[in-house]
Amino acid sequence: MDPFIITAVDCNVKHEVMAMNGDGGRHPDHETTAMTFPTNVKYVFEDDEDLSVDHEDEEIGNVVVVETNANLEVTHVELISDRFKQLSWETAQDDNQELHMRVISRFEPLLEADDLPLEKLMEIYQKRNEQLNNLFNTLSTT
Amino acid sequence: MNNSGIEAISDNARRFLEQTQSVCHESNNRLSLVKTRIRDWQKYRSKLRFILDCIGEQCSYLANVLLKNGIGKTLIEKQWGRMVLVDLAGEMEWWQRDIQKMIKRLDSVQNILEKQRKSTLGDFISRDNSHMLDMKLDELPVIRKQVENISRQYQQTLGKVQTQLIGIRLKKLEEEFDSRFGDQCEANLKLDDQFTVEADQLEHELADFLKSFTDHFDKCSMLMSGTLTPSGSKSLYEIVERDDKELPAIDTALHEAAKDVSDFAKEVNALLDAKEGEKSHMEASLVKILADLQKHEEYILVFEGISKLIERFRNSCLEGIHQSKELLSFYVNFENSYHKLLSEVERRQETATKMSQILENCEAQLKKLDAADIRQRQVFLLENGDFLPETIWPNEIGNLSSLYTLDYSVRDV
Repeated sequence: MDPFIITAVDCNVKHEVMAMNGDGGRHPDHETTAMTFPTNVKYVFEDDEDLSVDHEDEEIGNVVVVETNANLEVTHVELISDRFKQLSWETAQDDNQELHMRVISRFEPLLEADDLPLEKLMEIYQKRNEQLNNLFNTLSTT
Repeated sequence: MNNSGIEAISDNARRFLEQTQSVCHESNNRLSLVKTRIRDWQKYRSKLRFILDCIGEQCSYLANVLLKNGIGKTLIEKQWGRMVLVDLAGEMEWWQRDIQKMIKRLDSVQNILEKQRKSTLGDFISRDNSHMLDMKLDELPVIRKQVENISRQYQQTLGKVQTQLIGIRLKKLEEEFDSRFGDQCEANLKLDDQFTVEADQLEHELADFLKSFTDHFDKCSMLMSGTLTPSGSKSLYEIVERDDKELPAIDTALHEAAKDVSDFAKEVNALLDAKEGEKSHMEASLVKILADLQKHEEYILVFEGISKLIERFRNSCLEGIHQSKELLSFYVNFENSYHKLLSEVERRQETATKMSQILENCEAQLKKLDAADIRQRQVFLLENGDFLPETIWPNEIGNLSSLYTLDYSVRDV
């Protein structure tokens, strides 16, 4: 079985704020600035004899648990991480082994936001409220 | 050592092994369910902690970035307080004064070009827009009042956020988390450490039982297979015969262990049931604080609305200043052009004088030529007139009128 290709986008507004330049414009590629391709990936399969590998390796920061059916179609994705929580996931239309995850990192103080106009500050606030509600809704399925 | 003895022991071993397998299977299932529940509970707490951290940061963003900095400092203090009410008002007053000064000046300059009535340059300008800035300045107290109102509202909102939202609601939420969902809460310490260790111990214990019964069974099977040397068979038989007698006692211990597992599972499940029962209150508190955060969006929209209103006023003031500047520069140009007009009038008058002089000069010379002409005609006719018939130079021979006529005028300007 080929390993899954996993991309994760951090929806934290801090990436947008950093990409906003003086005139308040948005970095044309602002979403890709938040895109992370997990590196240093270790794949562990349920059938593996030695499942304890992730407990021994202290470098492991985030665990993505992917459940599939017999046709290797993804049925459930779970992210176990202290730094990120999962908002949603989907597989690519043409390749069900390409997995896209929308995750969010902890809200941080936005030092760069000080000079932004009120509408932009408001936009950030609204967006984060939306994300909080999103996060809260994932709590009941935990 | 006889075969029927071995068979009986082997049957016994199989019977006990099968029982043990079924008991261990059941107990292991119980344990793994309990462990899964503990892990789920830990995941729930971890996510809850994460959300609380985010809510805390969002509250402080609301209080510090949005309200204190965005509205208090930037909008009320800087943009409205300083830029509109002080800088802009000062600029408008300055330009208004300048315009009035200029109008006064134009009113004081007599138009010397109009003779029939007394007029000043001020009579020739439109004053429709000269009080535009005064009108804007008159609106300032209303704006000032609005800024004062909104400042008060801002103080109230900030106070509410700081004391009620952050000081009470968020603090209560944190306390509720610490006492029921935190790592240091007694029940969670038990679940995370003691119970997790205990579950592992119980699992190992069961595995040991299973291993003992399996080993015994394997030994019996080896004896039954008859592949051992006679002396090897003999010593192994002694071992299994001795072990066989201990089987009931070990089985009793196994059942005790299984009961331990069942009791343990009951205890953990009861604790988890109780803890999970506490979720609903926490979630209700979360819903409330999230709703509160959302409600503040509306409050801040009010500030945005006022901000747009004042921005519109500011733009109309800037437009007024722009128009006043243009008007003022028109007045200045008008006065300059009037003075140039006076020089122009003078220049034309001088030109007219020059033209009159040229014409008078010319007339004098023509008169002189004409007088000489007439004189010579008379002398000629006196000497030759009698001998020449009139028809020899028709109409002209006796004509003594002047050769030229001159009719001129120079306009008085």
